[in-house]
Amino acid sequence: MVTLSLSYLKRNWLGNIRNDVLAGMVVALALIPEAIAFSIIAGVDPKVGLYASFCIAIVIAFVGGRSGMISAATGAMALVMVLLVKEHGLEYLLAATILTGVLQIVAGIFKLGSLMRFVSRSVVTGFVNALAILIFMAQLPEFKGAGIQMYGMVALGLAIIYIFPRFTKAVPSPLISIIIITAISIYFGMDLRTVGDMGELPSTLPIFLLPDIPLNLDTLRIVFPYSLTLMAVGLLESLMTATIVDDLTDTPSNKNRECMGQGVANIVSGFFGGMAGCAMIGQSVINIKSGGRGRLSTLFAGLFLLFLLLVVGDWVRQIPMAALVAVMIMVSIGTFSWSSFRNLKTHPKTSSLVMITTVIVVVITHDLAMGVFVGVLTSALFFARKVSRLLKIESHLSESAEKRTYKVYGQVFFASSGIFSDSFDFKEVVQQITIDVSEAHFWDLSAVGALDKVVMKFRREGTVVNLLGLNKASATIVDRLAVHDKPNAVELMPNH
Amino acid sequence: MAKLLVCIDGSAYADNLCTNAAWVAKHINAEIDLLHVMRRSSDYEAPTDHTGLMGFEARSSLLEELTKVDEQRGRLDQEKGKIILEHGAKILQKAGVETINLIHRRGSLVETIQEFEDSAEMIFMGKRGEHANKGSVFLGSNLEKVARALHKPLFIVSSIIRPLKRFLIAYDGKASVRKAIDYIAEQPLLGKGLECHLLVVERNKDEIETAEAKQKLEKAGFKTTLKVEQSPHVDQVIASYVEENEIDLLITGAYSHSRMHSLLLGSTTASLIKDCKIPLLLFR
Repeated sequence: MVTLSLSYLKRNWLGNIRNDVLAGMVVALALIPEAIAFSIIAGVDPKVGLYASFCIAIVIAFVGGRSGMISAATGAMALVMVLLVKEHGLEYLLAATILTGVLQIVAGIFKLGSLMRFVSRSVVTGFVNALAILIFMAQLPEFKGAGIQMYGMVALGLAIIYIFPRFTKAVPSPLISIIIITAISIYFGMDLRTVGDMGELPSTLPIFLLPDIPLNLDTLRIVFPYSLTLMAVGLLESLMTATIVDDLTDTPSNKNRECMGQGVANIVSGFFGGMAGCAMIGQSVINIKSGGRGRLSTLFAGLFLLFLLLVVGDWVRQIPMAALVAVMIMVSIGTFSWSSFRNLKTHPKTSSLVMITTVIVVVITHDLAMGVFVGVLTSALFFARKVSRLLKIESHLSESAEKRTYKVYGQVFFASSGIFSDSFDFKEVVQQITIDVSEAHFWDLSAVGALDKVVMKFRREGTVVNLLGLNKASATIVDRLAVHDKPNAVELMPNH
Repeated sequence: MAKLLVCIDGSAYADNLCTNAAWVAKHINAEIDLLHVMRRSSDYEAPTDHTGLMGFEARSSLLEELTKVDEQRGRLDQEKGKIILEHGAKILQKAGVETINLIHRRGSLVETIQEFEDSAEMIFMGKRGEHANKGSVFLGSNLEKVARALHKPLFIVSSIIRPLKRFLIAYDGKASVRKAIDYIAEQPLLGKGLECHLLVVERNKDEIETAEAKQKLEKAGFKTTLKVEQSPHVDQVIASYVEENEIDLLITGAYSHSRMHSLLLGSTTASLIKDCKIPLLLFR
């Protein structure tokens, strides 16, 4: 799949070295607080998220399908695994991570990435907004029982993050914020919780480990449902992010390779003691904004992250949670699509409803996959309802008042078969009626059933029924013909 | 009517490119497609901002910003491309070419040339593109890619332009250079009576059969001089022969080795293009 040629190397790896390295550093700095924060959301030691971010970023740099995209431990995935960690512990999470990777590779082989086209724009917006809300909500427990100092430091942290870029754009402002907050808290000896209080930080390179779990059916029964959700959420966010990066950089990506790449990255992460991850919308945007375009930026983000941890690990321990909370609030603000409020007024009501439904389902269930599932279902229903209106039935009576002709235009299927049946006047007494369906499409058995019922009913009244153009109209119902799959589908379709 | 595809950009070779192409067009009675390929926006370095800040509407505002930058550059590039094409067309007209088609496209140069290759008799390019580093000893990155991708003869224009009196065929007995000899013998590109030098560089004596090639050229009416040398450094021998004998055009087969082979051992064709200051006509 990967052909090693000079032009491939240049386009993906060496075309943009300086900017890729710089952007990779900016991203690595931003990855540390996020990986720690997401580990805390998942209920594991910060080292699990940090190892995951390191492994995933490095592996995906080589095997991913979208250059310039950043993958690591993410909030979306962390939210899925909370219960698993709480009830069964870390080892089961590692097993679930490996199984997630396997499932993602299978999804890539079967090209499930193309299913993304059924996820409408409104669902994507809902997903992103729900994610932002959940990340924000996950910060709230940090304030529980905290004093005024905590609120003050978070406010100061946010102020630095947003104001500092006005002075220079050369240094990442979240980093400056973390350094200043940490310095203040150490100098004044403030009583603030620090990252070190949240669990173990990495002190060595990650090592290869088999998860310590019994390999039996019971384990699979515990792990599989989580892995399935993790697979779905991971692929969803990764493919969404890939599309965003495609748009930003105006370059194409290989979505199926990305699916398989995510799988490989998760398998590696699981074996090296990391949690499952996926592409990160926020970090990828930061990477592109910082000038990162090639695979080198992703690789360098991972490498630099590890370097930072091993070299400055002791300092990371002393970062107050207030600084991390400030960074995460920025991430949730940056992730949220604020224009979706404005768009509520202008967008079609059904689209807004789909978006809001997705958000509500996610916020209630804390399950992004469920939210997307409900969102897709709702948008499909709305679509069916809209298309069902594309049905018109005209009729006219012959001059002798003995014959009536009904002419059907449009789409007849499960959602419109009721409208179809109701359009005939069974009370009128005529000797003969003609139903001309040559300008209609009968999409499914409900449609044919409705037509049968209409014909029967007329016959019972003693009326002679002629059907015109049924072959043409029902061509669409036969799955075997599947005209919509052929390139000349439009010409093959009966006209109307 | 035969067509020549002339790939022009803002480089210093543009004028010579048109002059050479016009000369060939008159000899084989061809029309000219003058092609200028604009760079894709993704080929440019993007503006950078290392704040790592995700502000309000981070995605859409970044998209807006990047689009704006590309838009301005795109507009400038379009105008520049138009000027380049018009300038080229003027030179061609002055040189007496009757039919000139201007083609302005966006995308990768190699892919674009491949798109138009089928209808073209010969393709013209400058030694270096506009964006190549002048001081660099490496050739335009596009030239090799194009040369390897194409199936039609490729005319590589240099900064030297002078009336054609003698040409050199660097002969290695391979299919591509035989194709070159057939072409020259059959087509009216090079006038009969021109001085033709047939240079063979062998590693071992009598490795390459030359009689047939010489015969073909003489039969076609060229005053043919055959020279056989033994040396492992093919490119150096050819380059010094070109200089000593004041050759005006070098004709040869191109890139007979795989990319990997060239990467490790260097490509004879690439060093010929680099070392010979005269125009080259490559056959694949």
